[in-house]
Amino acid sequence: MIHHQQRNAASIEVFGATVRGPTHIANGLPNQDTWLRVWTGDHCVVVVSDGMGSKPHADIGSQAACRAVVDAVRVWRRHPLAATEVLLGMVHLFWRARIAPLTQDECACTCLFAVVGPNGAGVAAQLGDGLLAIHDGSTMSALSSRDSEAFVNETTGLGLTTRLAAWRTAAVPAGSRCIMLCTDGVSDDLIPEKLPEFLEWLEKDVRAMREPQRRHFLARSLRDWPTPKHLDDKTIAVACIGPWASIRKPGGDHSNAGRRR
Amino acid sequence: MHALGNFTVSTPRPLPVIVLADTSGSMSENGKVDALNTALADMTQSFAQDVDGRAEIHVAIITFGGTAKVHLPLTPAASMQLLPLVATGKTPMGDAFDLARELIEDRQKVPSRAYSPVIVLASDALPNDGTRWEEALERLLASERAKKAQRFALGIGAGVDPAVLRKFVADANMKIYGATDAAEIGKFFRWVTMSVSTRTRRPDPESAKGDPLPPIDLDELL
Repeated sequence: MIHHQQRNAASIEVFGATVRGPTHIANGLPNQDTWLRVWTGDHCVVVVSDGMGSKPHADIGSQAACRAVVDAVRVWRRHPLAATEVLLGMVHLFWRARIAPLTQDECACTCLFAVVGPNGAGVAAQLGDGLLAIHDGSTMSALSSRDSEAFVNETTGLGLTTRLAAWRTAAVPAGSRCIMLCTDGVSDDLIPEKLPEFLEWLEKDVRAMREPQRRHFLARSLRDWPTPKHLDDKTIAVACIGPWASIRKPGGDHSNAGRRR
Repeated sequence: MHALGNFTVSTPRPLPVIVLADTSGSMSENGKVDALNTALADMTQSFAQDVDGRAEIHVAIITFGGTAKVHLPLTPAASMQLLPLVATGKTPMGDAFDLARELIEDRQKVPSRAYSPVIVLASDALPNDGTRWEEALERLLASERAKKAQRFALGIGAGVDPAVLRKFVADANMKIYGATDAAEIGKFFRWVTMSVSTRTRRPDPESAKGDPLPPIDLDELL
């Protein structure tokens, strides 16, 4: 498998971590968040999904969501003229295939992903809460994390809607430097005004760490989350897009998506 | 300092509780406003001591007696200082509904990371602001944010119109409650306290909007 495309104009380095929240630890329940990074052909795919806590198979749903995005991208990238909506529609279909015979409602989950091609450009999409932010070095754009009328834990996702209009999408312009995806356990407690600074910290300070220390640092940071009375599972994935002065050793694919689905 | 602490909020997710307290002149009779003051003090003290909950309870008190006004802005229960309510004037309930709606729609005061709010209406009389109360209630119930609030209603004394409270609650499955003396006013607010505290202790406070301890059902009382 190709991990790091030396022939690409852009070099992409992806890292992240996911941890169980205090509620699931106290109740002996599994982490219902999943994140995944995969290189398919010359495209890098990063996915984050948050299984909805009230659903009995939310963990399976979020694992299936990550795999379904990769399934969909593998088909979609072979058809350069196919619109983003085609990709989103396939995500729904592959997700349903992967959760079978479970029902959609039992497996409901959010889905946030970014696909970056060899020139550093791509597409990002989000269904449900959480946050997807893109930093181009000078400005930051973010897909809205939650309906402005909503309160915490009011969200949509795979299994709750099939309306493609419920997705928020954005182009990843060539020259983008950093894409950050996280579940609402992280995004709800971030200070909006400090988001650009947060992305810069991830892109410079955290990216500069070596594995496995970086993974351990991120996991520990999420586990020791500073906001009082935090509850949720927490997941963050970061794609940094080069080129940099030195190409880092490829990190390979990563997943906590399991092999069941 | 924890590196993430530079980028994260330092306060827990809030659970707003907004009390709409009737302070019209009739509340000065039979010690009703005194009983309401005692009940509110007990409630806020219990909220302040609720350190084990998964949310930080914030309380606002809007009074309507003569004019409607914010008696206490939305404040964490642990740091609030409650001044006694004074009963005087007519019953401009509609203006109180508008103040509650405006508060909930203010995303600076009630952010999207908050749990959906609770509104408690306690009144002893018919609103005497013409059709304003109905129009304001319609605005409250039509507001995308405010309509999601969990609503509790208490009728104090025999002069109250249950239809007004029922319209406020706007949920056939949700009871409205009555109190004829100070003890029953206290009982109602203890039930609200218990309901809110129970909610904050659930793994997902958003999924626990129930009636843990039913006090007196106004339909049975009248």
